[in-house]
Amino acid sequence: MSQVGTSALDPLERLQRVQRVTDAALAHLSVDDLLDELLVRVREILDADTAAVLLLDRSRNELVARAAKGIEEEVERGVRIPVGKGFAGRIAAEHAPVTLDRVDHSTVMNPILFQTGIRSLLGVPLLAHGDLVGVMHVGTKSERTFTDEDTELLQLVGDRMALALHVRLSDRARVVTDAFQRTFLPDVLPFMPGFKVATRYLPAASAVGVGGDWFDTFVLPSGEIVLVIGDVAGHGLPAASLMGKLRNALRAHALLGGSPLDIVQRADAFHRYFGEGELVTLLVGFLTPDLATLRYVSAGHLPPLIVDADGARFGTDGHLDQALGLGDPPVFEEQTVQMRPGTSVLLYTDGLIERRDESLDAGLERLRSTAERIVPGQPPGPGITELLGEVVGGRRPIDDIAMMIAQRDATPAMELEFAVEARARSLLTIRRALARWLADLDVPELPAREVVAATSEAAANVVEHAYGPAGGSITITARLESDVIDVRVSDTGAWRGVTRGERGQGVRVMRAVMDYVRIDASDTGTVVHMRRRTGA
Amino acid sequence: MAEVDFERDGSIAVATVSGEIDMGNAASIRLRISELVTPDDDAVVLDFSPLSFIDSAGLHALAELAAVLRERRQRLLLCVPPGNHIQRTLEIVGIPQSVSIEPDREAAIAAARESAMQAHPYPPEEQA
Repeated sequence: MSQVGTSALDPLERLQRVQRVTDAALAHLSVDDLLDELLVRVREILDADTAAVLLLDRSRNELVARAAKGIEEEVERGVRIPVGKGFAGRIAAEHAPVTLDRVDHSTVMNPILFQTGIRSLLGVPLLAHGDLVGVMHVGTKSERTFTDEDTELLQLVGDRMALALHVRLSDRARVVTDAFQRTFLPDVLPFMPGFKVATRYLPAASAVGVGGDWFDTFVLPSGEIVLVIGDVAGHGLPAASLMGKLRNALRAHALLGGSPLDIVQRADAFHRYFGEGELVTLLVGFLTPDLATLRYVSAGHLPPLIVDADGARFGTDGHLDQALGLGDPPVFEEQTVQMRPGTSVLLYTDGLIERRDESLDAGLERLRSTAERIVPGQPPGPGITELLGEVVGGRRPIDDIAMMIAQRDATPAMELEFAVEARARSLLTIRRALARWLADLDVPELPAREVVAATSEAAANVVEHAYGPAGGSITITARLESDVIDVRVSDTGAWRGVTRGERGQGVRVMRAVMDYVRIDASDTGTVVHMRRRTGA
Repeated sequence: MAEVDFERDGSIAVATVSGEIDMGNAASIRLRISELVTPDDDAVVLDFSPLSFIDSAGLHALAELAAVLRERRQRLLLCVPPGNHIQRTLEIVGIPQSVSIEPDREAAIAAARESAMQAHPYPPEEQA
């Protein structure tokens, strides 16, 4: 039995949603983020189960799966479809929409489509100024006859998507940036309650190739948050590859333990011995686990800008003769910044402040006064966008810009929610995050420690029993309600064949330290709900 | 996440464990300690005073280590200062009876030495 015109939304609402596809907010997204965002919206507008985009690889005349919702395997397995073959290939060859009411070997090339249980498909070409960029398709798991209206809507979104992609993919600097950011810049920013960080990389206007600017940020096993910004002089592959080496060396040095001073001294020795005299400036900061103190060491780098309720001021900078490997003898000094709640620290490379017609001091002052006005009172994400808009303006920078804003929240959040991979290594992340959040709320040490211990046990049970080898995630939600901490540890696993005894020791700890423990297990997952008074 | 510092006081192996132990590193910490203990050691002291966290999986690994040492007649002593917060976890989960808990390192080493004397009623002849 087939259904006709199944969309739950009326035509006007659907059109309004299409309009939203051009949101200004999408303008700054990278190709992958843009596609992800658009596919979510497309799936919603057309009330479909799956949505996917394949981009044209001109050199091989093939379509390559680049983004997918509901059929993520398509991207994970790197599906490639020759133009002209199968469903997507036909759309690409004919530059015209195709609908399929029957999905099987005879109509599609890609087995993932029918293995996923897709029954009906609608696809449109992504055309920018008549050039094929790729193909987008949506699918439903129930049988459905896509209407002309559905096709028109998808084509409308497809046209907008194609233009956005065309701009990004044809802009050479942008292509390089995408590749660069994927390879060297951290794809996972550290998660820590009470702390936010935003990063940005902008390539220079001239097409001289990517530069050697970089940033990095991660959490150490000790709970300290590491912030790094650095700049290798020059452009092109040599600068970028030296940057990559230094970034990895720094991560290794940081993992060995020690202070920011130790890390910079190791990097100095590394560059002195293995480098070839390239000019490298660098700043390494450690934020203490309680987020109250930033210690940093600069090797010839521009000073960090500290912004709080009293205004914006620069920390001490590094003298240029102390750039990495140049000091004779190398003398680095550790600086300390007190991070009151609401304090932000800006780390940046010289591209941000350099203008051809302006002195360095004037550029620094312009940054300082702009940041003072923009940064306080908003999260670092919007802050960095607005700041770049004002400082760089519409023009493309003359040099690359790498920058980062790290911010301590002004007020603690009453609620905490986060998800981590259901792996043993996530337990430390869970304990750190929870302990940090409880400390921000001034929960006394003993109950805080017990809540952390009980949550860690509940999460350990999820890691051990909830999922098969494919894995899954653990979601932690916590709330402070007057004088009670309420924690939920949830998973979506099946807990097959788990006996009470296997969960026993962990559950014993939970019951002993918490006032209330309830475990609700069903076929779709388990929720461990616990409560603990904040009094001892 | 956790570190083991090892030293030897005569025939007593002393391992100081700092950091955090959970199901992610419990097995490797146990293995590391097992590798450091030699057949000649009479007793093993685990100094947990700098340890900031241990979960039930960590204590399970400790019980397994205790069982192996017990078969070899090597005593296991745990050093946990009174009031230390891991004490609460020890109480809840429990540890094997063969493991004795001492308040500090000196007491643990003294107790270990005493049991070593009992284990060797005929000490090796003193050298001339």
